Amino acid sequence: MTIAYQRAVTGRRAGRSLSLRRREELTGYLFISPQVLGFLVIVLGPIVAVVVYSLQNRTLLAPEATFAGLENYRHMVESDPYFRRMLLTTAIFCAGLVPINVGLGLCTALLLSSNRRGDAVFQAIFFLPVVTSAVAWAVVWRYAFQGELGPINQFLAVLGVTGPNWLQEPTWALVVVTVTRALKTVGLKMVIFIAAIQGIPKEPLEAARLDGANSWHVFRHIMLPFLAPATFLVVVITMIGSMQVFDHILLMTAGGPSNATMVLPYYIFHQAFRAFDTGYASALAVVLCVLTLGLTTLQWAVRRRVVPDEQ
Amino acid sequence: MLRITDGRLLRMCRALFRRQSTRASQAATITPRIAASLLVATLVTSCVGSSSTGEGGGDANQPVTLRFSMWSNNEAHVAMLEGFAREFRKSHPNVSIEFVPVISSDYLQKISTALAGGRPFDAGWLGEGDVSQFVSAGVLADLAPTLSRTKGYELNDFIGKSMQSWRRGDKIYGVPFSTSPFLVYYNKDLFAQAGVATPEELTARGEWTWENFRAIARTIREKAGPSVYGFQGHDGALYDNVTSFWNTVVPAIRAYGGSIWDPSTGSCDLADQATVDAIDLFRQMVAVDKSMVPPGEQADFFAGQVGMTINQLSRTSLLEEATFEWGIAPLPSGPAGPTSFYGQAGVVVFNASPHPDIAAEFVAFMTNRQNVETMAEFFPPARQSVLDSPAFRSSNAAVGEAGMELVADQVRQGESFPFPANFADVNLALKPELDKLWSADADVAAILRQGCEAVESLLTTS
Repeated sequence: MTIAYQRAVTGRRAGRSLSLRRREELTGYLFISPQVLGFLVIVLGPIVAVVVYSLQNRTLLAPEATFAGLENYRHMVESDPYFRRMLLTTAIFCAGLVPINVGLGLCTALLLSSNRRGDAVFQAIFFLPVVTSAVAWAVVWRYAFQGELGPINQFLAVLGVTGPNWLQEPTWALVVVTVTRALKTVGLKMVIFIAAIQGIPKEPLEAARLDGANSWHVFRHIMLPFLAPATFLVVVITMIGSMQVFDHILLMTAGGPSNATMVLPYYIFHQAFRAFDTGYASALAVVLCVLTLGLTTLQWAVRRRVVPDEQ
Repeated sequence: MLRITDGRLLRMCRALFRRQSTRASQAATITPRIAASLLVATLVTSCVGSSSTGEGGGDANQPVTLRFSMWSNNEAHVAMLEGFAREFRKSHPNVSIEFVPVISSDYLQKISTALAGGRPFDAGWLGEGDVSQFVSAGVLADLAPTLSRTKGYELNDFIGKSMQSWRRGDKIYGVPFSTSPFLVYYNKDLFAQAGVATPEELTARGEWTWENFRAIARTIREKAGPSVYGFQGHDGALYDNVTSFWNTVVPAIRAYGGSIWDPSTGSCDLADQATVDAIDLFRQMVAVDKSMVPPGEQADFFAGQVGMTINQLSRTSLLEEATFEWGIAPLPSGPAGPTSFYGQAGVVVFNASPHPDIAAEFVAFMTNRQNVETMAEFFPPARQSVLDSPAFRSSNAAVGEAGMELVADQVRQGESFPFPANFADVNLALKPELDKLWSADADVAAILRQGCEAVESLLTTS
């Protein structure tokens, strides 16, 4: 195999015409070519196709399409009665989910990163939802948040509190899907934070404590700056994930009640696979992609200013 | 439009493959070589892909494989259809049929993606709710010429209204293989516990009405325990799914003499008094009597927690291991008399099939009298002759002969839902209004007026 490889790289023709640098480049290109091919076919191809589809009148029921220019985008902005509402719902969902998810991830990491006895057990418990099927997770929560007979409301009743009909009242339904979705991946964020916390050098922490800093000051002025890169990473991936939520909404509320939990990805699904309007669904997908990309870029720009090592 | 046949595409691929290989070997720089390699790999992939689809042509003797989509993976269903395919092959020796079961929740996605990808199924099952949308998009083939020239087909044997959803003028875009009426399923144990008359007794006295239906549900709720309800909507999905909402309320709307809308004229009748009264009956059961499983609760008839529900014959399988005695009854009557209501599934042929004529012949074969009789074991038929046959009455041991006679009656008198072409958009617009119905102080008439305003423009365009 080694001989065959050397022949491939330094074969007679190549040996005559290629310099060492060129041969090394060729080797590099050969190594990355499977990845590049996969990226072109599986990632870039569909992205380009979605952008092209968004400029067409296209239905999922026929392969033919006609050019529509920016008509789908014009309809989105000017005459779609749902688009703005769903954009707002998506924004509220993200704004609620990211702090809950990241905050709980950080708190659990701080509590469980000291290698005390039992930490590993609690880490496993918090990580359990990450490996739980999304369907099972949604169905169980849906059961728990039933109206009068639901376990949560029955528990509240014991405390003398009358719980709302969680998934049937628009405001509560959005709160419930946001919180339950946020809880699903807390364990993953916890693991990232624990790794980051364990990477913090001990000397500054000990020095601060010797100087009389309390726990809050140590956390605020020593640990948090060290955790800033990990925090930005976690915020970015959580935000991207929250803007793509679909299965959880489908299984818990199907977008209801009164479209209160209809986020943009669910609306894209509706347009593509229920109304079969692939052109318009593609335009919505492009907008979602641009928004996600924009927010990610913005956070990256902020990161460069805030994180000390990124200056 | 330029059409490239599979053979021609294959030759083009081979030529390009040779050209690219030659160019790649002559290239002096690295980057073009890699680009060429990627292009070649892509072409090879597409060549391999296209050659695998190249089966079958216009020649009558050339082997043809029809791909037939279905949403059941029940082995008995597949075996039955494969039996039809074997019989069909006796008169069409070059035709084989591949049945492709798809999970029902993914079914529309699968067949529409196949259509968009230019490799559609040749034929398959389709729910009546999707027919209008598919007809509007022009993707279904007209089966009327094939059915009319098929010897002994007897199109008139299909009872009048059963073809409503599938006909457009003289054209027939599908043939129903399942015409399943909605029935009241009831829990005999809970009825006995509550001490109320059964639907059979009330029917015999001419008192099986929606008003009595409501009273029975209330009594069951009061007497059978705090976690037991009197009535559950269709499939327990009344509040989540607009189709389940209609399947629950339409029988009452029709019994009250109301209507929903007319897709042919675009008029919305939801705010008519009879329709308002019928829907208000359910609101009172939820919000006033608290006898109907309310939004957010998951009490289930099939688990023995509910006295009555409305569903179709196919759900009887969920009662195989029931720990309670159950029965089926006709839909209650109302001020406008008794009513019957069914849902249908049909067999269609896709226009873009490479073999639409052969596929249409298979549909004609599959839905002839003899095969409909065979299918009646699983799917209630729309053929009068099969409904009248003793074989149909004895085809389902779970509901018995009397039950199947009831099913036959409901099919004979029934009618399906008036699906508009853009039903998905209508649902999206209407759902927020319907969600407001279930509170104690809801003004049903005002809500339904708003519902009409929300969907009227969509009904007009449909």
